[in-house]
Amino acid sequence: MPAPRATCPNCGAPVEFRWSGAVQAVCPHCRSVLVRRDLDLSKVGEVAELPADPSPIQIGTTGRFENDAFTVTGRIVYAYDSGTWNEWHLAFQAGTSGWLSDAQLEYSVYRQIAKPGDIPADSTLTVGQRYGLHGASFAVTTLTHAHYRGVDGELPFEYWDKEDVLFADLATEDGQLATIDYSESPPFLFRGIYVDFDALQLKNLKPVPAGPEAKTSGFNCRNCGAAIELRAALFTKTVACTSCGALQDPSDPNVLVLQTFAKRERITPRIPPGSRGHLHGHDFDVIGFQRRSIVVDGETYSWDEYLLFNREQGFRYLSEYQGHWNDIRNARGMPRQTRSGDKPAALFNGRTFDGFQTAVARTDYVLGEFPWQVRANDTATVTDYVDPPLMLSAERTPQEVTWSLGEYVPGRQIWDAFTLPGDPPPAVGVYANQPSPYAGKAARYWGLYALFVLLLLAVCAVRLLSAARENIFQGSYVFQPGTQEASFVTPVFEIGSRASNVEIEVRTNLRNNWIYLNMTLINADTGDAFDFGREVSYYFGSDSDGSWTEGSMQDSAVLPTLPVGRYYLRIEPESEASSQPISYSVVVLRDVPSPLYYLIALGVLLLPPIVVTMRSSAFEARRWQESDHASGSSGGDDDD
Amino acid sequence: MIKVYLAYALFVVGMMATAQYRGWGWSPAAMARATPRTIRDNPGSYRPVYGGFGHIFGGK
Repeated sequence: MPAPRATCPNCGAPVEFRWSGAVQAVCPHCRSVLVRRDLDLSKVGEVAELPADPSPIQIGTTGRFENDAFTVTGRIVYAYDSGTWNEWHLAFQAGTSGWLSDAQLEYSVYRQIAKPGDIPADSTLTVGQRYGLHGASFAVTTLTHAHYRGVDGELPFEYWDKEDVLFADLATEDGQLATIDYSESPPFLFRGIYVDFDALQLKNLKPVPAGPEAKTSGFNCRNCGAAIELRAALFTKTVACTSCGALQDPSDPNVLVLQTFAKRERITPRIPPGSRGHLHGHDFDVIGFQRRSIVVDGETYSWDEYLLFNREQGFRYLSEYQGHWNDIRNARGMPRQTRSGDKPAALFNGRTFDGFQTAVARTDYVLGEFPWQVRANDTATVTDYVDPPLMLSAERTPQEVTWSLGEYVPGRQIWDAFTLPGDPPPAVGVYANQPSPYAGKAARYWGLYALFVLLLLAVCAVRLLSAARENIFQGSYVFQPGTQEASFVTPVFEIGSRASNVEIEVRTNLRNNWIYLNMTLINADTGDAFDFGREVSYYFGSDSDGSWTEGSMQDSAVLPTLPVGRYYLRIEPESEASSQPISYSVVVLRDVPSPLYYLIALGVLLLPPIVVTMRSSAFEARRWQESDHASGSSGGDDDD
Repeated sequence: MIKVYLAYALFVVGMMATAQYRGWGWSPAAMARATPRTIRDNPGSYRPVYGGFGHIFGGK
């Protein structure tokens, strides 16, 4: 179907509408702002020259969001402290409207809420405060006093005569977003979510500059004259000269020198600025470097941060401390601060992050470009929360709170991504969000142990049920203590069927007496003899503590694996010469189960889970010894 | 490491089952080989290989 067409009432040029629902359009020829009223198209104003736009999106870009195709039909441009951003109007195939925001190349898609309900007055808003909006609890993340810079293309409403606009950005801890636009009365409410650039499947993007235009922009340092290249020019708010370190603002037409250094320490970043690395499927350039430090108990701890830039993917950060690397990006949402046990915690994206450390971080050294105003000796209060391998960090300055989410990355992965020579520096100690090599293992070991206990019980039950316990000999005797020659032999009995153990039980009628039986089990055919003895004693009585007993009237001995054959016992009893005659019996059983052995097996199987648990605990103890909450180690065995 | 534990545990359980079936264990007996057949006729002539030992006797 051909697109609706009209004629510009100002210049007469044809105006082709991409979207039939457009209320406002901009004539591409004379830049008049045109508004459709019924069938008429009237000029209501003119668009000023729009600022240079670093966004890869343009009018006519197509993409998909939530399985619905869209076309970018127009945009509203705003300026704020960190530069400019676009609100791109999306005309969905389903006939609905949406907005794609691209501030600092962080993409989010919003839809306007037709009946927003109660919206808090702008005068009541404070950053961090929570509000119930449209059925969800949102916290105010930023209040942006933006300046309207212009419009382009087609919009679903009249929007051209604005000046300063207050936006309240709100977020939940699971990444839902809301924006209140106070430019109208009643205010507009939009709800949305963050989206990855790749997930939008954008096509017909602004062409990447090629040829001579592809050169990075730059200028000469106003302090020392050295050439300075800019790779993220339209975003850069501060650049530190690689020669003299002077901090300058390239966005100012006169390039102001913001800070100079009389004497400058030379620090060589492990990843040289200008390096290009392949991360998350995209090429990123290292455009900035800073060294920061904290002082804890009088000791200074320094770490390095690298700022990475990709024209479409935006900014990422890498941090390195003693060989431990983190891949960091802005947190997409507003974590909810809470407590976990006796220490602070933060809830974010369905995970609980345990408070690790709060310290004042100082910027010691800066190199390259930054999309924010940065100075040496800048300070921010940094609070880290960990849920390995993730770390959630809040940086607080008097002006704002910025949340970022880092993921622990092995140094080798960084080295490979940037094809750096040699090996990464070895990691020293255990880092706050370093994944434990034992994470989840102890639980798995204990789970397996439980299974093996069941298996052992099953084997034990089978053994108890299948053991022969065959009575192969039984004899009763009376021993008269004091007899000259008390030894005797039993009749021959057979250990048949198969080689097995043999239990010899002795039962007596002892009363406050003892008997010792020297016994020898002798193979009648080979003469092999097994010597052993059993002492049986049994005493009882009563005293001031009541009645007591000691010992037992019976005992037994188990001889292991005896070959099949004919055997007899030689028995030689001993006792007090003056004691009464002692009656006793001897029972020989073949193939007797021994439950004690299963208990030993349970103990042997217990060793690996205990070792893994101890190692896991030791790893977590090393992690938390660097924390403000060292005694509150949470353990690290519940995540994998 | 889990696989090592699995193998180790199956070995332990298997050994335990085998030991029980075969009657393996620690013997309380000392073994003397090739005793004379005359023991059956004269039990008093035999002396155990471990010789004498002390007894602990008594009551409370």
